[in-house]
Amino acid sequence: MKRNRKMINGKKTSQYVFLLPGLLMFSFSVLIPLFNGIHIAFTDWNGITTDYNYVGFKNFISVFRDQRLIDPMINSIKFAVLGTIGNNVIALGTALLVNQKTGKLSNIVRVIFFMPVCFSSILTAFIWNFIYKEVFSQLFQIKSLLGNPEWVIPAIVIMGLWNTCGINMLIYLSGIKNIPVELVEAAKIDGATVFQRFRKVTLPLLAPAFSVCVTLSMTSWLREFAMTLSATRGGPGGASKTMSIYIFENLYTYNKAGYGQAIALLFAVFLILIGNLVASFFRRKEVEL
Amino acid sequence: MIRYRRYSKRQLRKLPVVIGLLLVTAVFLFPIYLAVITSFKTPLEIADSIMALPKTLNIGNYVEGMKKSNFARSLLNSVIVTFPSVAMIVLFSAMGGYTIARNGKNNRFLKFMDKVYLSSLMIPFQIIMIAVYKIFKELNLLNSLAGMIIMLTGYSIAYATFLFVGFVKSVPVDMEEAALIDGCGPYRAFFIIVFPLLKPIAATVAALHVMWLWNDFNIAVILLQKDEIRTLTVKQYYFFGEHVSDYGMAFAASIICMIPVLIFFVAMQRYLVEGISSGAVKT
Amino acid sequence: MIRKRLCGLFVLTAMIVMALPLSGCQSKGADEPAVQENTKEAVPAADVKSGEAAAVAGSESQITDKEISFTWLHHLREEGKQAWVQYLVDTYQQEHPNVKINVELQTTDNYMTVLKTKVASGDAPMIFDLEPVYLTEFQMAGHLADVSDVDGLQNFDENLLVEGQREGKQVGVPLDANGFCAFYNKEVFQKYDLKVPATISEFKEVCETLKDSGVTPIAVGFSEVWCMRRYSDIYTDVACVAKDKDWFTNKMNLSSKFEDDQAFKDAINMFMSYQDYWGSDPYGTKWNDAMSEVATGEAAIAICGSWTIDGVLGINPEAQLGAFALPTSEEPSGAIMELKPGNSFCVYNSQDADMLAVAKDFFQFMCSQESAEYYAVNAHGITGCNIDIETLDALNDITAYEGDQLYVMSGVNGFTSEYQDIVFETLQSHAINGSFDVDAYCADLDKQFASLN
Repeated sequence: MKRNRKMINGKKTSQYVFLLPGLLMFSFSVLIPLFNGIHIAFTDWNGITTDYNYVGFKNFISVFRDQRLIDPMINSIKFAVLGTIGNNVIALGTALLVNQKTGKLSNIVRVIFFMPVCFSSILTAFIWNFIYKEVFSQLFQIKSLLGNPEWVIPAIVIMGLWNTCGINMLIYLSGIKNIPVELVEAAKIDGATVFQRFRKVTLPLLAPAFSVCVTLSMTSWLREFAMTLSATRGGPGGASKTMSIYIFENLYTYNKAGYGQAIALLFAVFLILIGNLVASFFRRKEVEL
Repeated sequence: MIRYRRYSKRQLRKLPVVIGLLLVTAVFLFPIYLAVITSFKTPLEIADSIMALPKTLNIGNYVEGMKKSNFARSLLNSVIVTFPSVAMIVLFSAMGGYTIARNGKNNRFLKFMDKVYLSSLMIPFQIIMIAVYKIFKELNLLNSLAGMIIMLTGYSIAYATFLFVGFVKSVPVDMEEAALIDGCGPYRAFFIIVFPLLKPIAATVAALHVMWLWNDFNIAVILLQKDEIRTLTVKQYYFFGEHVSDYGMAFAASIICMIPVLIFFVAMQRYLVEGISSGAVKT
Repeated sequence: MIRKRLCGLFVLTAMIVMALPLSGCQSKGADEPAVQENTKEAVPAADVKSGEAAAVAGSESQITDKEISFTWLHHLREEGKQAWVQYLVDTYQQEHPNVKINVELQTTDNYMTVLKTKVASGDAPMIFDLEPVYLTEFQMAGHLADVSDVDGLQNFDENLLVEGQREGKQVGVPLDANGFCAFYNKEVFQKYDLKVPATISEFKEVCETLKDSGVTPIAVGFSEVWCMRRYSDIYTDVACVAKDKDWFTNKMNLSSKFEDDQAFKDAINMFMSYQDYWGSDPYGTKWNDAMSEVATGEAAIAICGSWTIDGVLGINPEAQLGAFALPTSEEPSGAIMELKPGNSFCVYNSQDADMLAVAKDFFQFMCSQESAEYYAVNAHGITGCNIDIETLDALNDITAYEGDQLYVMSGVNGFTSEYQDIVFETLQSHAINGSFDVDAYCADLDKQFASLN
């Protein structure tokens, strides 16, 4: 009896002990700086003066009146829709392809699919600028898509997909590898077709991979920043300016640090809501073995 | 001939897969090919044509690029910063993800932390940048590789933990429960039974983070400002200038920068392929 | 259940407690400079100038031999400019063994971000450079030291010094200037037997000939907004700002409208009248690609700042470049060759008197003729300090130009970055569809400017 109680106690505390090291590091580099910076959103600080005044919720009210914020918001949503769909379809597709046993070929191809992830966003932007400008113009007789207000967002999404699909491919792949072979075999014996096996066995068991990949690729596309900045700086004519670029401009280029912080916080709240909604949708579908 | 006939039916069935693979591969490879041939060209050759092959195998870009980026020192900095951080990230977030996945249902705080971790991923780095700089300055952690390791680890914990939470669920509970009933402590149970089962996802987390931390620019550019302490990735950005860029050298420097991570990834392959062996899963 | 909740609460409280001391010292940090400002204000206003000068002179005569180390933050990536930075630092450190200067190079994109972060965190570099807009902002925040007592400024062109003056103080010195005009590939001009144009009709004739021969007349990199700004500014600076130094301010505080500004409309129309000569894909071309076209002879002319010369020669060292003033009327005298001061170099107004004195002493060396000569030879720039050195052909074309219009922008407070972004993003989006209407453009600008107030 005594031993048993001790063990349960140990288990109770261990729940927190497991969490502790990560939480400490996380608090130090993210939570504490975040709480330290929040008050800026309630000030009129311009980013360089040594003092500032508190202005209450004025910045937050201005956010809702800001006409210039509408286009970046719409652009970010366009990025998110195109990017999330593209990213997950391609990543899952390539993961399934690579998972087929074709011997050495799969191994090599897996490395090749992952190689673009090693490219920095600035380098990706430059290479694809060449491709759009020189290669596409010769192949299809069109002007660079990056200089076309209607096509610039799909064009940046394509270069982003090339650059980041390998990440989700890897996550999907490890999800697929995690599926017990017996389940697939059992379904085969029961006479399920390839498609049925995919829908009834593979897909449900991939739920953890989906919750990670869909949630994170969606929110990271909503936060799209570096690639667009290197490729077009939000142009032409603001046609690819995203929320993150707009926030960055307010924080650092325009003398409106307080206001920039306020937009950033509201935008973060929006992302948190969306992210949690999507994540809990997929988390519910996760099955425990 | 006989062997060919024996395998032909199976091979035929795989033909669509192989063709699909080769097609997608070509799409993925083409930009890399462009980057590589560009890195061997002189500025004038690049100006003439992007597609053409370089006239000579001009390795000057690589030599100059390595010299200008102070290659040996920067490489060492990158290695020092990346690998200890990744080791910590994998270990800490596996532990955190494990406890959230197993106990989150009954423990509101843990469930709440899952949400906190997810939410923190939505926060743009720029919001916390000035505060991070101030804190690191107070604590004398600026321009220090140790400070950089702490920051990178802390900043990546949320993502990695979130990843582990989902995957721990697909590891069957039976074995650790059996072990716990047999009197094995919770820590021993985790390290001896659960962690080995998490190997594929741990390998994925490691591979991803090696890539990200190696390529990190946002954090490094703020925390590491002295030339001798900068990482290889930060260095490559200096080849893209304000009004003038020497593309050839910039591309060469970037390609050198990614070779070490590529080698790491290929070496990791073995762990990424290997799933949970069937015997270990079901009793 | 309650215990669990309590436990969670406890950890949360612990986290907040952890955060508190840090936010505590942060607010202390914010208070500190405010106190300093008070003490500054305590000095009787009338005596400020003489008092400060005396203090500086006093400390300068006895520059400390304490170990001092300070930072020079810059973004001069070009090889020649980096060599100049290194030369200054090495030479100075040799003469002053107690001084250690940390040179920190940033990319242009990150330079302002890093500088602002450093200044906001009380870790400002002692030497840095600023664009005119930021010069005003930094001066208002009290971050810039007055350098009017630095020896050697008398060698500078008065027009450049004006650029660095704010509220009667010399808070920055532009060490170089950029010429804005047309740069052309001489070989292409020779091949088609073209003469340098002096009037609009001559210029358009040149463009027509080139276009008919399959050469892009004017290479532009309008995929990058700044490129469009630099080009169109040449027209608007002379048409609008030269006549009214408050032109920008009046537009920003809405006391004058774009719609009623005929001079501005004419200038923009003149700029846009060349759009047929900008090649097949002006808005999908980056500046570097534009320079490549001039370097290889695929294009004949680039209209931008004098960094074009170094850029084109970097791509093709054999290229023969010349420069000519941009025609704006049927009179050759109407052609525009504009010189603009480069970024102003500044000394941070540190509270550490020794540090400030040493940094100013180093700044004096930066402003010396020795420094200017090294800069002219290695970085191929037009130095602010008057020296007699011949460098590149096209640069000589600029420095030898005898017309007016030089330095119309010197000391003018331009648009803040936000207004500037609006003006040129809007220009880009109106110009891109091919049917540009200046009235619609101006109406759009007025609407957006009004919405900002």
